[in-house]
Amino acid sequence: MAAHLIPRLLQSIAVVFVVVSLVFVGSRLIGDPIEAYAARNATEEAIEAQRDRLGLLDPMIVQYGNFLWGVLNLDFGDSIFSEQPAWDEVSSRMWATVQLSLAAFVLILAVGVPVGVLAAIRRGSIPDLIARLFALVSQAMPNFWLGLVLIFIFAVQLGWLPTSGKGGFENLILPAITLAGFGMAATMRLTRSGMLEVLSNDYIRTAQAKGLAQRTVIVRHALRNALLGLVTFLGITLAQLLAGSIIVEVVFAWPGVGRLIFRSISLRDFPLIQVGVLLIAVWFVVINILVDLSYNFLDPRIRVGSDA
Amino acid sequence: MLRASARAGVGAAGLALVGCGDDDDDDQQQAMAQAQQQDQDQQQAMQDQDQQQAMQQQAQQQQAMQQQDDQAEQQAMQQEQQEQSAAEAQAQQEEEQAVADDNIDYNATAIGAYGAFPQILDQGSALARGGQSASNNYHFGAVFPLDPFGSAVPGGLAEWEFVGAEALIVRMNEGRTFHNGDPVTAEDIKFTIDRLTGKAEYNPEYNSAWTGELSWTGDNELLDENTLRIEQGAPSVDAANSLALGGFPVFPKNYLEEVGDDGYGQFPVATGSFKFVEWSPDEYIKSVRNDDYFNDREYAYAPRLPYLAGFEARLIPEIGARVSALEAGEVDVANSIPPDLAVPLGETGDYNVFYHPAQRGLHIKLPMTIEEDPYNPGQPNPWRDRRVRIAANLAVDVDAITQNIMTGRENYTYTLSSGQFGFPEELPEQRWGYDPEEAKRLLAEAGYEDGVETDLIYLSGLYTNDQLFMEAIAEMLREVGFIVNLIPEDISKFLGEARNKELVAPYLFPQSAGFTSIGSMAISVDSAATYEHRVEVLSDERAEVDRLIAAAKTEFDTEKRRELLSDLVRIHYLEASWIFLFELVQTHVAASRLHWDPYFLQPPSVELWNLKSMKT
Repeated sequence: MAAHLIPRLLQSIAVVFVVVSLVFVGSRLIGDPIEAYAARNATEEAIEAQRDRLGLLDPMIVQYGNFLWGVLNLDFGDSIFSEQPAWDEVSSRMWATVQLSLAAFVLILAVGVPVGVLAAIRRGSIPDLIARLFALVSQAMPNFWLGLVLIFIFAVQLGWLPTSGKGGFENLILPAITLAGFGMAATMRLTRSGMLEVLSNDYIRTAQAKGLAQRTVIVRHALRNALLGLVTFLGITLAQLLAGSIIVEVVFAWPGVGRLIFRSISLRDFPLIQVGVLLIAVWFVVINILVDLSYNFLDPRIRVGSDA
Repeated sequence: MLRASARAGVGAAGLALVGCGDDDDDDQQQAMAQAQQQDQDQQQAMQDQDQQQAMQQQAQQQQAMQQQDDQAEQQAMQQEQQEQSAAEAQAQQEEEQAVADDNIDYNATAIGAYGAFPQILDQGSALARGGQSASNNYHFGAVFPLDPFGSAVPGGLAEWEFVGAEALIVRMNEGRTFHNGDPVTAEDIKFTIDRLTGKAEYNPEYNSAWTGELSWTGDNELLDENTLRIEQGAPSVDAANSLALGGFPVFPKNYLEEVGDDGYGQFPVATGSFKFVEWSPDEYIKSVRNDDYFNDREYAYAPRLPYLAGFEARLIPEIGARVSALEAGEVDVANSIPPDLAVPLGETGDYNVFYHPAQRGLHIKLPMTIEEDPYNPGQPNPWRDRRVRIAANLAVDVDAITQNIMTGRENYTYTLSSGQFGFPEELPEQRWGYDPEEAKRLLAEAGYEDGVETDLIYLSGLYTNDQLFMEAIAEMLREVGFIVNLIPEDISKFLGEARNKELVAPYLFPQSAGFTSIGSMAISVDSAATYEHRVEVLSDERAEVDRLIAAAKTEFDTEKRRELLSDLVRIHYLEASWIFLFELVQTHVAASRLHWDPYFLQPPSVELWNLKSMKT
């Protein structure tokens, strides 16, 4: 187990280092933040003074060295625009994004997997047809449009839920459904196809021939095997929910980190971009490691192989 | 040389004293003669200099006296105009007001949805400027109040007095306090100006948004605890106006030094009609009425004590979501709603639609100061030919664009804003109409039968329907023979290129007229302006425009200044210096219980202090 985990951790650190370095270079390629930062009637001297203050006049290699040293010390500098510590800016919004992502993920699991199983075991039936239609529509619909439609129906017309903002639990429902839309459909389709494949195997027929209850056959024998392929997808989905919630955050005025990064990119606020992307990179890496580890528990063959 | 001295504010005064100030050509000749004589005889020049200094002193004294007369005259004129414009509606308003005042809910709070929030709440910082400042500029109060025309009037925090073109004396009024209860002192005003001009000892590197507006200031000195003398380093008639601009922040010295720039940006204490309570960045900004506000609701000028007891600004970036929040009753005002969404809401009768001019005369700047045609090297720049510029203006059907693409309420623009001081009233009679045939004829006459090749640059996504109306303009120009390549650009890229004078093509520009028409004209119209094309060569007319701006900046006589600005706008328009488009209109939608009768003739945004919530 340790032999499997340690190389993966070292590999992950290398990945994070490469991502962070690319972000450093990339954020400087998109332009000079001072053009957006300086007052419109600022003099050239004032603009140069601001560049100097932010260290932008240093050679690139010096800026890179300072940046890496800061990362090692968890000091990411101050946001150019809000003048608050970049880490504080991002971390203060992180919980809102995590909340939204987890809620969406729970929905994906709670809806995508059972509906996929149901569609598989009742292949060709009306529930299967409805499930496939739902999946098709959900995957074809842009989530900003879905969000606006949901707002119109459930907030404006029915008045059941608030349109936007971050208040209580009720504020979480519409953005979570919107964010989960694509993932639910994809999970449902993957679960259905995985289950159909597994259900056609001999060992399922054997289990059924042994007289095991249908529920036991489905849950213990079929679903567990079908899950193996699904886990990788769900891992990537969870990571993407965190990184890809920008549009949903904008539509629902959800004060999360996605919107902050999006705005930071348009303003070229380097420190915020760097912290945000670093967090997302770390998040992806952690999820990948967890997915790898989950294989050990889900598939005994992998566990035996790695132990050997 | 004359321009330089005029900018320094001494030329006009000196020449006025010797009786030559009435005729600009005579001024110029005399100045040149003096310069030649100085070159020939150094000693004589020194004597001239001494004499000139004496003359300047006399002129300044004379000007100070004249200034007082002018101020009184200006106020009397403005008062008269105000009374005239108000007289027609007064009887009806009084009747409605008598009924309406009983129905105003003075305990009501309102929620407004905005598309953008500032990064910090310090209005002095360049980081808080732009359209997003509307969501917290009501926390701040300027030094002087404004009349409905947008001109400063004495009162509010302080009174003012010009000492000729030398200085502005600011005398504090008693009983004015910051939101934290501290009295507003002359030392606070001094600190404010120092901070905004990068002279404050605690942080000379402060990223001020107001350096341009305060460029006239020199040193300042506390004469006593209630009196501040601000030297006019570069004399400007806009000196008092610049301290009255909407959102101009007066800072409490003690509080700001205690909490620092960072702390102030998170919790501003100021003098505005609303007090900041709390905010959550990217979520909301909560405020309450400043019940200690010194200008009550009967005060003649603005701002005044608000009607609303509280106000919450909520950030909803997506326009559709803003409208939905209004329809669901979660917010009371949805700001900056495109007309295609706002008008149908207004027609339901359940909402009030507020329109106000954005005070931005949209225009296309033409590269008429660049010598060569950038698309045909070695050839003369076609935009230097007045016939080509007129043809471009005749080619664009502005009314069709405003009727079919915009709200239909936009006025054609002859300059930055038709409401600005000095606008020549007869100019609309000379408007370039829509005449594509005449445009073709002019192009042919100018030798461009085969067309004029050009890029046309605009800021993409900055204004409602900008892509649509720019496509329409490009197509109209193509119809008469311009070979147009339309280029949308990101704002930050555009601003950088414009600032560095890298743009050689015509480009769309939205300069705000603001309240100081001279300052805005100087920023936008002067050939040396920051966002103008680079200057390689000036036409006589263009040089005249620059001269008129410089002269208007230091002309303290109201009528003479009005004439200078009228001449300036007239020449600039009739030379077809831009492709003149229209003045933008902003549209907001409010719940029917909210009423707003604008105080300003051209309000820069919804006047929050003037927003009334009626009892339901």
